Amino acid sequence: MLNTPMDGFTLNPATRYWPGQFFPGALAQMEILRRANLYRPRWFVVPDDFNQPIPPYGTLEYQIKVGPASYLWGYRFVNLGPPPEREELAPADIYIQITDSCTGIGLFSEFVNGSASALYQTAPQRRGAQFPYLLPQPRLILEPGLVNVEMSSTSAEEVTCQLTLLFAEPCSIVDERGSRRSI
Amino acid sequence: MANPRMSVPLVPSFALSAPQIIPPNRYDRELERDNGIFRQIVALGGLKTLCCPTARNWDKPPYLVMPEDARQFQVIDSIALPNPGDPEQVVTQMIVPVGYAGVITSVVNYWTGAGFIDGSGDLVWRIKVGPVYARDFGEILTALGSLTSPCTLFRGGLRLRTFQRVQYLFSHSALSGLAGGRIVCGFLGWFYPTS
Repeated sequence: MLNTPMDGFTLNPATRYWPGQFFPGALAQMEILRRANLYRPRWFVVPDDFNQPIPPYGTLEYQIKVGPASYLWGYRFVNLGPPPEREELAPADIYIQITDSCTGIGLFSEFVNGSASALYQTAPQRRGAQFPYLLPQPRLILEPGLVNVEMSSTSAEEVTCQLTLLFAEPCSIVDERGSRRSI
Repeated sequence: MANPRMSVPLVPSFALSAPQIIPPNRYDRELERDNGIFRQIVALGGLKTLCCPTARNWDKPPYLVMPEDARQFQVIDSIALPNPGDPEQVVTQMIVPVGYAGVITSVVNYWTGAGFIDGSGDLVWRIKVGPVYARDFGEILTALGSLTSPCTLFRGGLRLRTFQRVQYLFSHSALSGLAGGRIVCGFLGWFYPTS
């Protein structure tokens, strides 16, 4: 019998393994990744400078570089108000697209509204949603390991927001003599 | 942001007194096999080539040079100048036909009245592609081109995907003192078949 992988998902008491639910189903798709020894988590924040707002009616384009053969497995988005409170706001005016540069294929068929991936929850039916948002299946990012992110605003005001992309990145093995080898 | 394939410490932090090397397990080998399959797909031309073998191969990018079987479009319309502070209005719009992609190579927007100062913010045009404003066209504060000499978009123009809605929007600032005349907007370009 397999041991339960000990990670944040296992230790999160809010995770309900109900049949027919998306979250435990998506988690099951990550089983191999969670059990692999040579992958480590790496999170990227876009934009990495929190004080880089999206101008009114503007688009922020960003490219991040991950190790080739990394897996993108989740994401979360937050839209924040002005300082100093930085109160969380509804992200209805932000649209996001994430594209793997190797294949040129977007994660979504069209820009997706920020509300689809945000923590902001006022509607009763959305309370208790699980975070982060998991992809139905981890997405392999091949050479050159570039991921393009576009965040577009339809707001008349500057928008300060952050998108967090959650990757699992492969590690190379260093043996006792200090030389590297592949898996 | 540079992120080379890192050599990582194979020593868990809780085991400093008894270092050990964590070996790859069968799940790592499964992932490596998955990785190998995708590398092979890339070597064979990528997902688009393998999954869409009927896709057209163009001599030159069809969004730069108009192919023979492309269809030109010239969508131009006008509305009476709305009252200052009125909600944003759609002046003209189009939908890319199914099975075609497209490119907007020229745009035109202006007001037929007199007294508008470019950049004053009294009149604002926007081009919306799908749910978002096109890059650099989210807030056009100046008149662009004319019907006899539209404003050409260099270096490829605005690319469009199949069944995408494109709108030319206009808003009249509440602080504006302009009145009368018409707002004219238009897109020019071509649709080309994707297969």
